Amino acid sequence: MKTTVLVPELLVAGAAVGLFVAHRLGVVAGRWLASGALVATLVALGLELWLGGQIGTLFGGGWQQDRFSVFAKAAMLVGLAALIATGDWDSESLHEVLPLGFLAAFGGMVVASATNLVALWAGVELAGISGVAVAGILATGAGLRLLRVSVLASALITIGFAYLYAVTGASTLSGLRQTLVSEQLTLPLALISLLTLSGLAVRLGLTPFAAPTLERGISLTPVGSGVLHGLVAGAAALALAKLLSALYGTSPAWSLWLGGLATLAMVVGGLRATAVTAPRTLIAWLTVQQVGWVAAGLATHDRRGAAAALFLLVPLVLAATAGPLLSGAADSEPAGVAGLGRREPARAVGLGLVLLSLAGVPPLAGFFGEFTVAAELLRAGLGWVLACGLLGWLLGAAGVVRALWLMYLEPGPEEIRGQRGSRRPAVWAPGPLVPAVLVLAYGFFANPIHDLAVQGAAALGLR
Amino acid sequence: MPLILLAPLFGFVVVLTGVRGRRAASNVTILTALVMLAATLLVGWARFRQNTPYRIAYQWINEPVSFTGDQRFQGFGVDLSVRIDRYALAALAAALVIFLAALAWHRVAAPREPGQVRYHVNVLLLMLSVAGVVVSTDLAELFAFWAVSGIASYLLLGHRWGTESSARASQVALALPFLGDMALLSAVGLLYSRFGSIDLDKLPPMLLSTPGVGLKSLTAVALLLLAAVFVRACLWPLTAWQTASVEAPPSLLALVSGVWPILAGSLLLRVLPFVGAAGPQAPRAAGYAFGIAAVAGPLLGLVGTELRRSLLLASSGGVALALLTVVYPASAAAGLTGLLAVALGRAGALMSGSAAVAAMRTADLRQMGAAGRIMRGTAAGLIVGVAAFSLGPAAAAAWRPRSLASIALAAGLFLVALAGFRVAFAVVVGPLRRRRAFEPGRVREVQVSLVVAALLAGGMGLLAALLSFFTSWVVYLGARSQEVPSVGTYVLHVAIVLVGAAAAAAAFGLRKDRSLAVAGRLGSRLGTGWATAEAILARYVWRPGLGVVNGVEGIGLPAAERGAGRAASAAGRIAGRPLPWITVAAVAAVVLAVVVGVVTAGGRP
Amino acid sequence: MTGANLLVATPLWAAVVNPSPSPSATPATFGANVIGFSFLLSLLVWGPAVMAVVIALVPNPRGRYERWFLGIAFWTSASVLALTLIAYQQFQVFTTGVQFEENLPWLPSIGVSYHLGVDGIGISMLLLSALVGLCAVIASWEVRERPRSYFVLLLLAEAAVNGTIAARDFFVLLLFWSAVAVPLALLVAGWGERPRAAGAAWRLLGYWGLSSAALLTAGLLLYQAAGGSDFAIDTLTHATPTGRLQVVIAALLLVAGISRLPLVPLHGWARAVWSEAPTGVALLTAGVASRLGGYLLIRVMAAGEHDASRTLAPILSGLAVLTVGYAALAALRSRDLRRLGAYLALIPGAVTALGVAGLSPLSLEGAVLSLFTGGLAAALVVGATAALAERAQTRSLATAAGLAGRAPKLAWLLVAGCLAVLCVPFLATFPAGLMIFLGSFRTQGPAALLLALGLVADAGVVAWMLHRVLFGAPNPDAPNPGDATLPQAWFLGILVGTLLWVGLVPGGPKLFGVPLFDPGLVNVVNTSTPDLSSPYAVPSPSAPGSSPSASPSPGTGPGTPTSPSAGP
Repeated sequence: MKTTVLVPELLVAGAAVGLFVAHRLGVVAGRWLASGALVATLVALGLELWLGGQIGTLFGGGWQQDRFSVFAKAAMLVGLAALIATGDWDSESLHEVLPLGFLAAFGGMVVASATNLVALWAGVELAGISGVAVAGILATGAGLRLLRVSVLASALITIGFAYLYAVTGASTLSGLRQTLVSEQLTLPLALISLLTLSGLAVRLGLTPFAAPTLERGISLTPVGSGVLHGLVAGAAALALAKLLSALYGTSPAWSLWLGGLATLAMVVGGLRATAVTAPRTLIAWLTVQQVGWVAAGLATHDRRGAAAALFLLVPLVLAATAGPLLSGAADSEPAGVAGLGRREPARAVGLGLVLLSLAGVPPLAGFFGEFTVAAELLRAGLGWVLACGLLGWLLGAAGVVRALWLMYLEPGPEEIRGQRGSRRPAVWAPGPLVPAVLVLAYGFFANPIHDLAVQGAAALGLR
Repeated sequence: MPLILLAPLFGFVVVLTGVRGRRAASNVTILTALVMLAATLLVGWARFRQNTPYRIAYQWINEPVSFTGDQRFQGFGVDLSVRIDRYALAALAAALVIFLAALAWHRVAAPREPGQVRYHVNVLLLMLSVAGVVVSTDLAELFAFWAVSGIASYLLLGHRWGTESSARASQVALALPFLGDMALLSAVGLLYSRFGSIDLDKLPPMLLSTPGVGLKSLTAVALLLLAAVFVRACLWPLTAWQTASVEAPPSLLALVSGVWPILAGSLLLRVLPFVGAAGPQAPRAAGYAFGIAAVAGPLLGLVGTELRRSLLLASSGGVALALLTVVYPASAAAGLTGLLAVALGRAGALMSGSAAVAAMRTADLRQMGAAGRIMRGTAAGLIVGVAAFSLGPAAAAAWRPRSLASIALAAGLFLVALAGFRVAFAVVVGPLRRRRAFEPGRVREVQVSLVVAALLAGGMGLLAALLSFFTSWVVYLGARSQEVPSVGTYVLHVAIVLVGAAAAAAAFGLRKDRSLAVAGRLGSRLGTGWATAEAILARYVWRPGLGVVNGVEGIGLPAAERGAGRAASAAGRIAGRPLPWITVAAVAAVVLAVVVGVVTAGGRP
Repeated sequence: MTGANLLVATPLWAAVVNPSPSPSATPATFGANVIGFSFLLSLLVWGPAVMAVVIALVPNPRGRYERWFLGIAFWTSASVLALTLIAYQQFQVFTTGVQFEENLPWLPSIGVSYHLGVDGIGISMLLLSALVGLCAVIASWEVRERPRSYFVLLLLAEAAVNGTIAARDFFVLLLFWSAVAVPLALLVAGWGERPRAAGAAWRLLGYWGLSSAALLTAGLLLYQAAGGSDFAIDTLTHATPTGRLQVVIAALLLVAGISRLPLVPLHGWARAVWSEAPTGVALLTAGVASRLGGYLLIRVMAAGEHDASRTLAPILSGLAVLTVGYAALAALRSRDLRRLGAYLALIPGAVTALGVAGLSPLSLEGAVLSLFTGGLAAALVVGATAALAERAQTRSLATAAGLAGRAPKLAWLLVAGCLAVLCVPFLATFPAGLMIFLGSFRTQGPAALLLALGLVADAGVVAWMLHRVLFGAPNPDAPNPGDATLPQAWFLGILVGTLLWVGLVPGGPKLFGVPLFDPGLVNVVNTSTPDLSSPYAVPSPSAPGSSPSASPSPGTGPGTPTSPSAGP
């Protein structure tokens, strides 16, 4: 196959470098940077969808292009586009961290095309380190704390990969799969598989491993939080999907393990969503809940379940990336979004729809994904996971309604001070409408997208 | 013929939509009643020599509801079917006379009554539904008109908006008779569920020939139908829906209390086949119920001194007696004639009595009197009305075969006459005493038209009562020849009535004050008894029921709802408690891996 | 497949560009070019949603054009009603099957399709939705606080309701069923009477969320039972789960249905929302959104789970009886006019539930009809009490007394509503109630008898309320009441007019036996119910012991109408 299929990756990596250089030299104005970054991302996405039609390998099988990689890369690029479109380009921070956002996306793309443990590790670590770096640049303290979490994850993943290689003698995912399928599941094998997966779970932000990342993430700036909870988690989810297909032989262990964690995530996420009021915290916990749904889909360890999980991954990455930016820098307190519907209608619409999508409220993207996962859960005999998921779903929706209520029905700070919000001209920025349109359009175009997700799951070699 | 139904419908729409003035509304309503009466008489003339009833039917609902199973239940239809036989003609004529009398009375007596258009709209609605009930043969159609008659009666009895007593009384007039309406609906439902038909013409032959339908079902149907008749006929102990409304406009009280016995009788006549097919229990139950009502009603009428209440209770005995005779085919025709007499008589008596009440400015019999001297027309109307509802059932009682019920009949006849004439004598004879702000010398006879209206109703009632003694009329009305009672039997039953009247004359003509004082005392005791009964009912039935609802609505449900919400947020807070997360994550990773690994070791995908 | 190729498979916009060839029974005669296109139902569903977006985007400098939002919402609802009336008029009676159908693949790999269509039941519900939707907008005439958000949410709710009715695919049904809760909850919370509005909104969200979860679980179980290939409602209702699973599914559907309808004990949201929500929202929830519960019970439970429905019928009828009696007692203890109206509005749902529990062809037809008539009655009672409370400037029964003299129009409208709730003849609730009672006596005799007794108790409460509020002595200390405003007279008048029209000519007006402009609601409803209820047909005496469930569904043709009065 031709190396032209690498153009999207090159574009993203090049954009990261270009943005970094341009920012350092200060030769290009912020708006132009944003436009350039967005154009680069969209071109990469378009090329990916176009060139992704080809299937094959490069570098002697070290790099693979298949339906899964097309879908996965598209998901990362959509998240990146949402990050750029909704970002506040008047703040300096975005210029600083955007190259790292591109690197995180690039890490995800590497994971998507990885065929062996090394590439998988490299992609996940690149994405993870980019997230930590984002935090470090904006808030050193938070960055250092996140670094500790990242080290824990890296350690688990690295040790796990090394042990797997040692046990099976295979470094490629396909080789790993073939070896493990033919072996009996022993306790050491189960242990190391689960510990490796725990590392990915920390990156992914799956309860109870979500809390460290989540707590630090909330305290970050919106863009940092978006990169961490959206792009990094997306890359981790992709790695998880690929690794699980390779660890099919140990599925009796990780299926139960992942199902349990998914249940915990869905319920805890929903419960927390009802208890918190600050929009950023709400978004973080709703993300945890939806990550639980994705994990539940993967826990079915079959093609249809994985397809449902992939189908849900796109809205998750999109909403988790754009959500924090839409909630704004100053909105870690409930009052921050009060009256937002009148102050900044576009941002309110964007934030509202993103929240509803994260909560799985119809007719938005999240609902479509969660419904497909639910259908597969019951088919795979994981009814108990579904029951807990429904509970979390109800609680999450309640939490979102409260946020919407704040945004549209409660007076904003200025109105409380007596200045009528409606008297001031409302701010109409188009950027926040991008994720809103995407979460609406996702359901509209569900047919081809889900079809591609099914082909992606098939490409993982699942039955 | 459809004019009988279309005329009131047209009048109703015209008055509802186009008429605003009192006179115009009154003119349209009276004209409508006259047109209906004319149509009724024309049909009567046309069918004079024909035995078969006049029939016509229009489809209202006609649907196939199923394509499989029992063919009887595959379709459902309700027809606007009309059957006019001699019974229907007589009933319609009597009802329309009551309407005309009441309308004429109201036009003259109450020109300043508020809500005149509303008054006539509701009267027209009642007129339409009464005609509908009398001519219907489809049970659903009959129920529809029956229920609308009930609603119209409620609206009429509660006509005086803004008057607390009237509004309170009208509560009973809606709720209590609704029990009877629901009984009728249930009977219709039960019939349909067993026979797949609700057509009164088609059902009788199916009653005993349908497999799988036993006497139990038929008895239940019959009892439900009798309950509907009993409640709407306003018989003791369910008389409150009329006796509580004595504050309503007199013409309306007379109208409602006069018309409903006719409707109840018509229904009873239509459903007699079901009562007959139900075996002995149903007629026996009807006998007991009507018999007790025939005795208890007038007995209560003797107690208390409120004129309209006493008249209603006394005449309710007459209604019960007449219905008791209608239940038995042998005396059905005479019974219906007697029932018409009672209905017309009580309407006339109530109008005359109300005229006296208005003139003497009191409804307390103890303070009334001398009407025979200063209000001769009104007195005559009262006596004629009372005579009509006392004599009405006498002939029918003679037609009825001997049985245990004969004792109730005799006692009832005596008590109705005693209670009815008690009122008449109390108003007609004796002094009319001076009271505060009341000068007896100023009391004058009411306008002639009022007297005529009351006399028209009472007179027609007396005429009906007399007609019931004519064998040829009874045979003609019943459209069949049957064994005729002897003259002696007639004389015996009339004598019982006369004895009752004489006793009333003796007690309330000669010793009026003393007797009425006793009645007053008994009345107050009875009032106290009722109050106690109500208190007991409230304490042991209503309060516990409301207590349960209070517990659920006020405490249980809100507590459960709040509890669910609080539990969710509390759990959320607990889940968000700060912990050393990195340690937790590391420990959780190891522990989970070990536990799951141990559990699943040895498995295969 | 390339990325470009992927998008070619996109179904929805392709369908909009090229009308789908999917079968549509829309006649090609009158108005074929007006609504003959194959996305009429999509227009009815998405039209209000699109107009909601338009309202959201209309610029409104310094609040200058706030009345425009009302205007847009009004004309949108009026257009929806006009389209629905044309569709209703063109609806082919005496034919079976789905009409105005749209069927496009949506998530084909799991068997989800964008499948809309209406049969007799659906078109009557759509008509109800359009009528009540317009009334809700008129009832919101005086909404001046944040009108943009209000009308956006109102139109979104209307769209979701229409979508639920038109859905023929379980996924689409669930999507709209769940979606309707959010805008309604926000409407109640934002424009309801403070401070209790917030509680009412949470209750609505809680109970409706429960119903959504129950429905989702039931649907997924049915999906599995049907082989996990297709979410079409017809496929799911033809699935044959094992006995116990079928009971579980039916129980879940029962919970979903009665928490919407609602029946006691899942009525907590109704008493709160109908008494605290703004009049328009209360009207929409009482009139049509809550009827969807009954619609679900008929469309999925009774139509699909025959044996389980028979098993659960006594429970459903028991709950219906409990609701009717409980509503009377709860209303008696109420000291709040709107709360009292809310309790009375529970009654039509209970009557519908008895019809469903009756499980006989006639009772089911009555139940379907009562969805329409009961919705109108409930909306009328709720709307009239709200309007009266507003014009009397008080909700307290201790203060509002003897209002009939001062507010005769409202008095008559309230009386009409109360009578409609009691299924009094000449009003639309009567034919429905009659069919339900007559049809239920064979299978649920005692329950029908008890429900009739419960209605007597309700009549007592109605009499008490009318005496207290309307006909009694006026309260000299109460604020001076006014009669209905023009919008109030209009929206209540539309409801009463429809109740009278259907009550007087349920079979449609005829001139010398020839049907005129209205095919007749009973006829329209009857196009679907015989098929739906054929498994519950009364066994023929000629074949004793033949199980009703064993009787095959005929599938085609309504056969020749037969009237008992002209019967065999």
